[in-house]
Parts: sequence; structure tokens; C-alpha cells
Amino acid sequence: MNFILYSDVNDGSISQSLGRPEYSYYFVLKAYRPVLESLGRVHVVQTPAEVDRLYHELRLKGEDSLFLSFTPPQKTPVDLDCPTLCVVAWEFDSIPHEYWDNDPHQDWSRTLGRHGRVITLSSHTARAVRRVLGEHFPVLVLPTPLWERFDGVRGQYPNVPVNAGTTLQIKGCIIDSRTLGLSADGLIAPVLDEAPPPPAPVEVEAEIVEAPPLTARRRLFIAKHYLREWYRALVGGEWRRPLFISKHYIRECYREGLRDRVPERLRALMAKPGLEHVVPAPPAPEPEHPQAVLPATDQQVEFQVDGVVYVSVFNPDDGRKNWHQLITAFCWAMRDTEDATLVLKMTQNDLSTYYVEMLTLLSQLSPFSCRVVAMHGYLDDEQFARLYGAASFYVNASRCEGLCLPLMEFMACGKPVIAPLHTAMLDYIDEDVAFVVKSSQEPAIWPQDTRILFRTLRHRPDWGSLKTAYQDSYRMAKENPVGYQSMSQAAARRMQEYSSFASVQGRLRDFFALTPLTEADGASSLAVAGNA
Amino acid sequence: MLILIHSETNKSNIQQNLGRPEYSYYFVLKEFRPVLERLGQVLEVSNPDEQVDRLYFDCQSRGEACIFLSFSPPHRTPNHYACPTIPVFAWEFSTIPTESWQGEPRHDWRLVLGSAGAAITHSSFTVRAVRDVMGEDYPICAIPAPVWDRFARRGEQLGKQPRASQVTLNLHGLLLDSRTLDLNAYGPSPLREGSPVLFDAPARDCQLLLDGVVYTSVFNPYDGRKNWQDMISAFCTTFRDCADATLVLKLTHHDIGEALADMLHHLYKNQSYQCRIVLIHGFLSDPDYERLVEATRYVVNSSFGEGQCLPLMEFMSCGKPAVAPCNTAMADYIDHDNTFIVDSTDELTAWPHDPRAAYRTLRYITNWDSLCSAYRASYDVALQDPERYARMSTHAIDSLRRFCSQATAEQRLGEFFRQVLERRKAPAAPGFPG
Repeated sequence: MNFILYSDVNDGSISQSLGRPEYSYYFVLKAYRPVLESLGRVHVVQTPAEVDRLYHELRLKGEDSLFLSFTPPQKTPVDLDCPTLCVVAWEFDSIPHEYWDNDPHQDWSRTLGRHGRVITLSSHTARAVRRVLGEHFPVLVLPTPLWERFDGVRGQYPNVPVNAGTTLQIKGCIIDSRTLGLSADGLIAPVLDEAPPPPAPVEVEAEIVEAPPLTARRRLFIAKHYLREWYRALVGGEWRRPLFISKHYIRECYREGLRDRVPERLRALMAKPGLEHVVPAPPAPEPEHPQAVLPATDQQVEFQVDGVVYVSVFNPDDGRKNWHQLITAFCWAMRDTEDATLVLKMTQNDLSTYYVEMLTLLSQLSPFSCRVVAMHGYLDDEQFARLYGAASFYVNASRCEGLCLPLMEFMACGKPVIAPLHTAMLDYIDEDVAFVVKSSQEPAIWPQDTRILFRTLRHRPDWGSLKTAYQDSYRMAKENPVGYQSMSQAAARRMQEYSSFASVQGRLRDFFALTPLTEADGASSLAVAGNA
Repeated sequence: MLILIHSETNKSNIQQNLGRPEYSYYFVLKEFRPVLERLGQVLEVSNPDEQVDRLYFDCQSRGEACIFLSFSPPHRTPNHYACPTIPVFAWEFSTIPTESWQGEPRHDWRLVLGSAGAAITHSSFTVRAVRDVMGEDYPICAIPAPVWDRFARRGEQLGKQPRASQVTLNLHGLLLDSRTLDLNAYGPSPLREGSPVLFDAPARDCQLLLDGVVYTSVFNPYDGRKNWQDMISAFCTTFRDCADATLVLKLTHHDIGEALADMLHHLYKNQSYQCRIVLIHGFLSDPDYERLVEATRYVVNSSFGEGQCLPLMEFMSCGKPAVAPCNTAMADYIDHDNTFIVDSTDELTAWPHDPRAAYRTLRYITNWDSLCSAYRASYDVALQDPERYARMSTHAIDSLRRFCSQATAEQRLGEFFRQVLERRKAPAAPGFPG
């Protein structure tokens, strides 16, 4: 069997595509490749136009071919001679089954139906496909193999719930809450500057609006109002202080309805001395908040972490990741806990896209005793291995996931996790391996739908439940090492079953009814998705 | 006893302040007033700095008790009067402000509450939040705005059928109906088709005919807590194929143009649906407001928290069961026998008037699935279980009577004033400096 592979992101273009929806396809292609090579010959083409030529050449030699397209279905051809399958990474509960912009390709049910079968990364996506194409539509659920890649880490770093101290290194920079001198008061300019801090969504208190201009009608209205009040007070049975009450309402009537008609000099005489307000001159406008100065990102940085260490790896530009809640729940749960650290490995090349936002968020949360460190830059395999080894827990608080490689990688290293039970995580998360974060659903759009209509659902992680998961996991790390070990082993075992080379090879072989060329085999570089 | 009352929004500027953060204090003041009048002579003051102490000393000279109720949040309540000053405030967050900023010490509510020595709020939730900081014996009392009597009287005259049948009401203002609007005018700009409604057009006389199972909510669309996005999307999702369900949103704000554009965009995004969404903005005369209440089967709330929620209290006092969460103030009057309860969860947020937006407190986020289930279950009850509907309706009236009748308020206020004045007389009572 020949496998012809195509992804519109390749080694040359990956650096421009980081964080884009299609970039994960590149990692999936790379991860599947060794398994495909164990079952047949792999050809990677640069454009779909090459597929049929190659297919016919191989056919002349009497060889079968399959074209696996690692691109979204709307970009995959349906009219090739070569049998074609899409590999679909998708995190919503329905697939596009209608089209827009006069482009029938947007209707995935049409493309996948023509292909006659599909590969998905999760059972959740398989269900979304079958909901449209029928319960018996052939879907291969194929997670990416990664178990063997972490043999080394598992051997080198025993799983301990409380880290005695690990030195982490990165080529780039770190944002460390302990060294920044954070303060919420720093978010606003000093006294009397009313301007809100630019990045924070703030409901600034509106000033009370003055009454409308005093027209004759309005004066009459005011006078009538107070006369009525006066009357009510008098007939209300309070006869003890008629003079007093009357004076009050006459004064009110004058103040609101007539005062401006009384000549200035007379007004000054009528006003009691000392009661006039001195209106202070408005303060001179403060200068704009100075432009943030970004730290250098070409340094080798080294820092120490210890205690209960939580790690998460994500691209802050990816709206699915819900990273604000991931951080706020940590800081609230651990605000009086010195030995809890949250390490965030950011998979984003451009520090300026999130630097100010991160600093603002940490300032809004300060003061807190726990520690948050964001790592920006490149980690080599050895440095990444230390990060895996340093973690007590991995954290995911996403709204939806097509697979979530970093979560699986840390589990493969024997790290228990905090994660919600939805979308792709349904395949490998449960109470044995995770502190499960509750979530509810919410309406969502298909990301490529230019009509932006709600056609699907994503998930809304429960912040309270996330906070509790931090507290429960911390307690387990400190008080129940036996429980921690059994969770750690369960996490590793889960990934062995789910993502070992043999299990992925088996799924592939059964689906295509193939015989393996070589036996299951370990693999190369660590952390396919974690670097930026 | 002389009771001085003040709110920054008053009769002469209410129209312009409608929907602003402080505006609802005026409505609360109005609701309290008749009850206060049973307890003493009530005077509304427009300029407390000039008037309060003068009136207080006047009373003192005659040996008469005098108390000042400032219907405003503590940081806008004066703390330097000789006259006993009691802030009457609404609050819906888990903690009260305990920090100050921008050089205004009163932002730290402990200062104001400490010098006031007593406070009135509207819910036991907020009493808890205050006592967490001020101590268990701090004199604070939960007294909601006493709206029950007025609305229960109205409710008695209304029909109690689970479905509305051809109820017509007249409105002077703006009426937008998903059944007749061209929603494509509110899509993303490149795809926009048709002409959108002009929101600043002069108010017109409109007629609204309501039929079927009608859900109503009254709110200020700029108030971020109200979470109308979930209210609408869960409604459209639940009743996608149900032409018999209508959601009426009565919007209260003096200038709703921007909010309307946003809401209509949401009506577009939720397409397509058989159910009906009606947005109304403008003045309803009392009889027409009653017609709206009459047509309503359920009153809806999907907020992140409420200081009390006058519209919800009003509709429930009329015997309308609710679809609402059971958190913050609502926990005082909502239960499974009068409401289809929507689940909610904590979320870290900032005190709403803190310009630093520092994360210091919790609000309560809606569980969207649970909102859908509550809509579905309430609809089924309206159509299939009239006895249960009637029981829920009766129970709503009873619960709200206990919560916010004038008798309850009078009894609590009377008792509270007595306590406050007694403590004030006692020399060197804690919490009463000066």
C-alpha cells in the first residue's frame, strides 16, 4: 500500500502558521507518518495536483494508493482518481452540513460523503460526522501515537507530587509573578485620573447626568412636584411642624426650579456663607500609559521551580484555551499558598501579542502568595524533558479540543491532570486520571463560517469547579502521595492503551485491512506541539 | 421621628439616568417611602450636605429623633454628618470593597459602614458579605423594596391561564418583532442585506398582540450582569421548532440604540427559529403594563447576580412563576415551588466600580444547558400541567409576600430603627464614633 500525504502547512511554512487553525494538521501528519511507514510506503506531495499522477504511476506497477489529506475538508479535492480520505481535526459537536458564499465545498457532508470514509482524531468528531452521514458511515478514530516518545522522560524523572526543586531553562524570556512587583493599584494612574486602564474591560461608573434645561414647562413641573409633596406632608397628619415642612419644600422648589432666575447678587445674599462649593479646576490630562517595553527574547534564562507545580502549554491567541480562567482560578484557589506554582509554556512566537494582557491579568489578581511563570521561547528536547519531569499536574481548561497533544504528552509522562470532560477529552479523561472540571455547553459558530451563525456548540468550563480541582489536587499532592501515585500510574497506563504505536497501528491496520511491514517501534523528538 | 431620604437620581433627573448604575436607587426609594411614612415624618432632601444636619439639629432642639437614609452605595454615602446616617444599598457580589483607590477612602466600605454604624441592604446574601468583614454583630438588616402589595393587588385581577390568548397592548416607543424584522440587515457587514431599523426614529404608537406561552424579562441591556445573550440563545435553541413560545424583552434605558444593534445581531446569529422574540422600548401606560403582566406566563432572569431585582419581584408578586437562578438576593425568594431554577457557578470578577478591575470577588455564571432545560420544563408545565402551574403561581405570591410586603418591611424597619437609635443613645457603643 502507498500512502500519499499532503498538508498545506509543511516544514517550510510551519513557522508562519503557528497558532492558525491548520497548524495542528502539520503535527498530526508528522505524528502519523511512522505508523503509516510501518504499513506501507509514504509519499509526501507538495500540492494535491501531484496526487493523481503518482497514483497512476503506482497503479501501472500494480500498486494500490490512498491519498490522506491533512487539510480541512473544504480544501480537499473530491474529483481525484486516487481514493481520498480527509484527516479531520475538529472540536465541535456538528460538522458543516450546509454551505455559504456560494461555495459547495464548505459543506463537509458532501465532501466526506464523496470520499466515502474519513479519519478523525477523536470519537467526538466521529459522532459529529455520523450524525450527518449516518450511523454506519466508515470513520477511523485515530489518535496520534506518542507513548514511546516519552520512555526516556518516564525513566529519568520519577513522578513525585511535590517537586523538591528543578531548574528549568529556556531560550527566550520568562514572566515571573514573583519578580515583577505586581500591584492592582499600578493599573490606574494616581489620584484624580479617571481614565480606566486600557486593556482591562472595566465598567466605569457613569456620572449622574444633570437634569435637562429648565424650560418654563419644566419649572412648572418641579414646582408642582414640590407643592404636591408639601400638600401630602401636611395632610399626612403631621401638624406638629407645618412651618418647618413648608420651609423645606419652598426651599426645594426654589433650588431646582427658580434659583437660576434670581440675580446673582441676590443669590449670593440668600445663600448661607460657607455653603457654596468651590469647584476645583479639572486636573491636567495625564500622559498616556507608556508603551510596554518588552523583555529581550534571545537570552538563555534559567529559573527554579519547586512545591506543587502545575503546567499548561498553549497558544494565548487560541480562543479555545480559556487561559484567563486557567490563571484566575489558580490564583484565587492558591492565593495564600506559597508553594504552588503554575508554569505556562506559551506556544506563540510573538511576545507582544500577549505580554501586556498577561501583565495586566497578573496585576488584577495581585497580591497572591502562589507563583505564576510564563515561559516564552524555545525549549530543546532536554529542556522540555525537564519541564515534563518538573510537573506535579497538567492543567487544561479549554472550551473544546480536537485532540490536545500537550495534555496527552504530560499524561504519557505519568502526570495526573486537571481537565474538563468534553470533546476529544472524552476519549481519555475520567476520574481515574484527572480532577474533572465540570462544564456546560454554549452556542458556537463553525470557525470558517463567514455568516457567523450559531450552528454548533462548544463548552463553558465551570470556574468554581476548576478552582475546586486546583484545591483538591493540591491537597492530594501534599497529603495523599499514595493516591497521587495511583493516579499517575493510571494516567500513564491510559496513554499507553490510547496512544502507543502498536495500538494506533492496530486501528489503522484493521480499518484498511492491511498487514504491517515492520513491528511497533519507538520514535524521535519530544514535544511535537509544544515549541514555538 | 423625622426620616430624611435621598438618592442621587431623583424625580427631576430620572429620565436621563434611566439605566445608569445609580438609577435604580430612586425606584427603591420610591418603594420604601410609603412604609417609612408609617414610621415617621418623611422628607426627601435634594442636597444632603446643606440640609441633613440643619434638619437634624432642628429636630434635636425639639427633642425629636431624626435619621437620614441615604439610598446609595456606601462609597457615595456621606460619612461626616452629625445626623445618624444609614446607607440603603444593593449589592450582588460575594465580598464588599475593602480597599480604596483614587484617593477616595470611602471606596473601602468598612470606613463608611463603620462610621455609619448601621446599614440597610436588600438580601441576606449581602448581610452575610457585610458581616464577613464587619463582624457578626454589625447592625445590618435585609429589607427588600416592598413592592408586593401593589403588584399582588394587580395580580388578583388578572387571569391565570397557562397560555395567553390574544392579549393586545399598546406601546408608545419602539417595537421590534423577530417575526417581521429582516434579520439579514444585522448580519456581518459583508453579507448584510436589507435596511436596518432606525433606532433614533421618534417614538410611535405600536400595538403588540401576544399569544401562546409568553416569557417576559425587563432589564437594562447595557447592564453586563443581565446576560441577555444566554437568555436569547437558550430560548432560540430550546424553541427552535416551537412557534407557540414568545420571549418579550422590555428594555429600560434612555438611549438603547447601541444595545439594540447588538441584540438584533444576536437575533440574527441564532437563526433560524420558529419561536418569537419581541423587543420593546418605550412607555407602557399602567393598563398596558398590566396587559403585559397578564399575557406573561413566566418571568425570566439569567443574571450573574442581583441586589434584589425589582422586575422579577414585581412579576412574581403578581403570581408569575419564574425561570431564574437561585443565587445572591434571588435565593431569598426563589425555590423549586415557584421557579424553574437555572444552575449557576462562581466566577472571579472585580467590584463593578473598581477602575483597576482588580479580581476581588465572585459573580455567578449561568449554566446554559440548565437554562435550556428550565425553558423546556416550564413550557411543558404551561401546556400540560395547569394544576402545577396554578400551584407555582400561588406559591410565588406567598413567597414574595413574605419577602417584600409592606407589612414585612414596616415591621423590620421599625425594629431596626429602634435598635439603631438605642445603640446610638448608649454611651461609647462600639461602631458609633462621635
